[in-house]
Amino acid sequence: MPGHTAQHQSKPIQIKVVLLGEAAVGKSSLVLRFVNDEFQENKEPTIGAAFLTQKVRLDDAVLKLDIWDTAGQERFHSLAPMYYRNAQAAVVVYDITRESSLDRAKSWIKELQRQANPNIVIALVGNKLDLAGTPEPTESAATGESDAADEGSEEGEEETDETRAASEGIGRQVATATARAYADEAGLLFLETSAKSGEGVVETFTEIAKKLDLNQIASNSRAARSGQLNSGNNGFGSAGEAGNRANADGCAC
Amino acid sequence: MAVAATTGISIRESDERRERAFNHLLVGRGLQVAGAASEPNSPLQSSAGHGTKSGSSERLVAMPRLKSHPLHLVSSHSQISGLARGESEGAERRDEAYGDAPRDAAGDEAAAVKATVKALVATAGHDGRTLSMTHDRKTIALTRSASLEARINRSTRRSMSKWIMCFATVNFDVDQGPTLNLVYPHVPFSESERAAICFSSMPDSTIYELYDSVYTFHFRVDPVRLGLPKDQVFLYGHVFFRQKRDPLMRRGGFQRSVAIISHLPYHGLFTRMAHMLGPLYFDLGTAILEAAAHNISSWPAPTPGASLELPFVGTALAAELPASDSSQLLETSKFPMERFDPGEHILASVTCDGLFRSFRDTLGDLWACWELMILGESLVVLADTPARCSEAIVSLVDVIFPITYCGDYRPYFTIQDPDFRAIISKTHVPANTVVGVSNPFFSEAMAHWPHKLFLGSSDRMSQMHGASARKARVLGDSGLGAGSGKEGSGLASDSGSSGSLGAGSRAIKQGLQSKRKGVVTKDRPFAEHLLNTLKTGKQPPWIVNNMLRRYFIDLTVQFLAPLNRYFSTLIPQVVSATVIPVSGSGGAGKTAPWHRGHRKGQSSSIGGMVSSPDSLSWFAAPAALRPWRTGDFMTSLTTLGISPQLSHGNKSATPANVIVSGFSGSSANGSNSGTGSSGAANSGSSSYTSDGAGAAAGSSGGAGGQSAFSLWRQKKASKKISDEWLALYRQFLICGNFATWLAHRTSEAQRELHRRFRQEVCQGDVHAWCRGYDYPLAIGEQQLAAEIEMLDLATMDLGQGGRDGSGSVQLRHVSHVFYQGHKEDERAQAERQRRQLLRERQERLAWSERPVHGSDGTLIGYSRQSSEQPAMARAAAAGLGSRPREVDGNGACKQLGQRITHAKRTQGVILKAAWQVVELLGEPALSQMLRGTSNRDDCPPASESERQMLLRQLSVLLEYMAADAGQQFLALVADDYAAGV
Repeated sequence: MPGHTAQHQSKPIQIKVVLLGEAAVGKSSLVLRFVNDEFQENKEPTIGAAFLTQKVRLDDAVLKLDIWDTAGQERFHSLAPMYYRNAQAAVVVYDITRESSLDRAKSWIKELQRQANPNIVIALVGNKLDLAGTPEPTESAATGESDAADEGSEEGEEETDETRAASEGIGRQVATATARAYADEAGLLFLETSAKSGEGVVETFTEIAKKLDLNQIASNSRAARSGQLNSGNNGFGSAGEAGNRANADGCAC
Repeated sequence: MAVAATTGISIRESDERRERAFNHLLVGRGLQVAGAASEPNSPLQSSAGHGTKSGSSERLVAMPRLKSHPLHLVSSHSQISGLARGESEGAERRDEAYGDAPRDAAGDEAAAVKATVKALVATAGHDGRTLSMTHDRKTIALTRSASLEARINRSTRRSMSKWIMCFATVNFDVDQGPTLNLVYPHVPFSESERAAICFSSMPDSTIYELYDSVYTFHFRVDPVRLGLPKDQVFLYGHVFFRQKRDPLMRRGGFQRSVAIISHLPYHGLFTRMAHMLGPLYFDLGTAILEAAAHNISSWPAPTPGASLELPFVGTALAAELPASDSSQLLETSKFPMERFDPGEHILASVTCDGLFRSFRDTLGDLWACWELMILGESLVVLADTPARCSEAIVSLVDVIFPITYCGDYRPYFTIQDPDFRAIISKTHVPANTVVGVSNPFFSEAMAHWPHKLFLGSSDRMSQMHGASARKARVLGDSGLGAGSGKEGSGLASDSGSSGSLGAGSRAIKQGLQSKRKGVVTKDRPFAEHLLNTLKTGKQPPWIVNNMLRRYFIDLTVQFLAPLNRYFSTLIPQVVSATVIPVSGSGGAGKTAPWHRGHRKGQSSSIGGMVSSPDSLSWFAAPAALRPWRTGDFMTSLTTLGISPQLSHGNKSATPANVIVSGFSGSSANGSNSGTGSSGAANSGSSSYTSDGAGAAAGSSGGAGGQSAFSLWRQKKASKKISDEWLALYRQFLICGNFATWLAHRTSEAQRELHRRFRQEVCQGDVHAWCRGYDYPLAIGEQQLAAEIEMLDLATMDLGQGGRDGSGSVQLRHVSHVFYQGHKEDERAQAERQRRQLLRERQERLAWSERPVHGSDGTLIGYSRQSSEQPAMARAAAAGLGSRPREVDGNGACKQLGQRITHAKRTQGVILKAAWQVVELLGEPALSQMLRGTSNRDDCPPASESERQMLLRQLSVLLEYMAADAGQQFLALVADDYAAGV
């Protein structure tokens, strides 16, 4: 399809990617590593959602990833639909040193499968691989201390340091196999990453890009755009259209 | 922060005002209704009959359809309980709406407040209720904003404030009217500013339907207290208003607004943002404001002409900001025109179809409206909705763009506005004021305004603006019957006693009612073309709107063309002034007489130590503009006429070729298109070179070139300007718009002159100038090199004689040369001697002078000893970024004699030049010291590279001065400067 190729080269395909997950699992750090190749030790909690873009080349196509890095704090939960609406891909992040964060990830995935774009590509990502430690923890040890970690995380990202300090001691709480099994069952991409070391970060986004149906997106984007246009027009015109509607009403009576 | 209490008071005041105005109307018509005349000033009183009345004036303004709600017809006792119930419901609802804040931060407080409210409501009597209500509202507002405020840090606020000041949310409270709930992030608005935001954010007119609306308002603020630039006396508000049915609320409905307050005139962008933000805010509460604020704080600072991707609540907006000196059109934007998509692309300063939508039904009046706007006339736009009038006014202000509307314009104005008294009076019409209103009250109160534009469906218009009288009758009815609209239009005629409402006609006609007979007439073919395009559906509305905007923007440009044409003759031709041709006599003749005289006058006024005007051709102060003389302009207007498109405006049928005529097109470049700083003066003059006759007119100015004028007159005799047009221009010249335009144009031109002057000084060859050459830039590099060489040769013997001696000996030599060269009678002799020397000492050149080559290999000069570079600036420009070697600072005294071989200009002249350079450097303290004046304000600051160049030039000047007078310390100073003081 030479036409498509030419188009890909001329204009990057815009892909909306949303990051979801519990507070303090490292969503922003993951994006920051991917986009700027940086890592900040004590990152401020995100408010609302941060927006970053990164261009990636895949075969002969250039993709522009518009990444919406949402806030994990519970008070922003209600805003999430705004960010995953029209998204072509979602990265749902959990913290491998905190078992509860996987549960939260699962509920995000359910919400996405129920409400987001049906073709959305979802990646389940276990972050903080650098804190995994050497051995996998025994069942009892993990459950014993996970409660403490949970309590810490309930408060939100302000508690990041303590949470991390607590988790540093205990290492991994979520076994790779467990998460992978879930991801396979739900039909998700699965990776483990470390935003701190950079391990697996680029791969995450590359895997997503590979799984996207670019041709469909390219052809859909126009349709979607015109759809958006219509909705935009509704928004746009609502003043005037309401006025017109009002006129119509007026004439009717 | 006594939010609620004070707002309550102002509402009561405005209620009174409204009441009075309304009663006045009723009394005036003799159409009093039962209860209407009694005790109008106690809105809180609630006898059943009077309650209906006092409420109804408010309801007419706010929610008339809901007035038959049972709660309002019951006795006072149950009304109070109803109110109490409503209030506690309201409190709960508020908690829900802003649920996120109490839930995670202030949950306990909110619960406590709720409990207090309930307790107070349960126990309080009538008076107590009002009090406690006010109190608890305040508490809620405080807790809420405190917890919100705590989460926004200073840097976020600072970067956000580059775009917007704040968000404001307004709620229509049944008892208190519109209340300002939240200003986020907190801005210390004064009470009247808060009131302006609060009342302007709610439609001030009958709202029959449940709908969403977006509109704009413009309100006055005190810039000093808000920490804004001094001239920022107005802010814009972009409102999303929603009215929807809600059975849980008293009166069964809900009216709320969220407004984006900003100082930037980016209506397209902010309107779009309001459209996005409003619905989300009503669904999700204040969390969305926080998210939005953080999004905005991540945006890059707005720079004119930038194309930006602006992430905003889940969408990346592609926005293009207007250049500082032009209107935004699809043609000039970087967005693909044929694939322009208003859902995706935003031209920040324009809404995608505002102008066309506003004037679609009254297209013919747009020409007259444009003329009124150009002349800065006062105009009132009476519309059925805030959206309609605000859009019309914003669009009208936009299409006269290179002209800024000089007065006060209010896209949406309400009767509660703090400036109400200043604008609305019975007899007086404020000058230069454009007001958009939707309240029917104004059709009566502003009946004496000379220009009134009615917009909106005629049925609704007559319902609203034609039926002030009908109001009285309707009051008695329980609601607005289906037939009341027609009834209203019938009644409109008898309410039109003032003649403003179209007495005799049955209904209000849409369109302009103006006492002025317009000069600019409707362009029928264009209008038809436009309507046809729309009808056939060939073009989407935004393209049609763009065609219409382009037409009027161009009309404005055409209108300004004669003014620009005359103005460009006032700009001194900097290039021809400084670059005095080599041969001298021939070139001087080319300069316009006024020009030369002007320069002479100026230079003598500056110093008095000038030997001849020519000697100061370069380092004189930047040339000043000649003053505008209306008489001269009118003469030029009469002789040169106006653009054929204006006078024969109806000829251009194809809007695509609107910019046709040569001079108007190019003057559009000068004043309009963003060619940057080189724009104004440059293209102003270059535009004339495209046309032979025009070029003569441009370069010779008003005084000279009579033959050119007569030629022009012969050619254009047929297109002589009509008296109507002369009158129009005459009127324009006395209106504020002209003053604003002229001030803007003048400062623009002066900045440009100054910038060019500085550039010349930076790039000029100071060595050559100091040696007596007036044309450092004019001649070719080869020629310059030859000249310098000749000079150096002529004095070489002197310089060389002392080369092995001490510094003082050399200095004496230098002084000797200077004093010789300076005397007029010895010049010829020196010249002869020089030529002889040149012939004799060719050989010497070979070993004592080194050629200096530019980066491209061309010869740019010769240096003596390896340390001197005669064309320093040139060499620097050619790649010597760092300091030249000669000014390294070691042994300045010793080098002096070697570097400076002779100086021809007097010390005074060089000193003056040095002052000039210091001033250009923009160091106010230094120039104050040297000259006793501080730096002028309108100079754009020098860039770092320019500073470096200027310092270098200064060091050379100081060296020559030192050589001249033998003051060695100056050489040291020179080196200090070169090192970058």
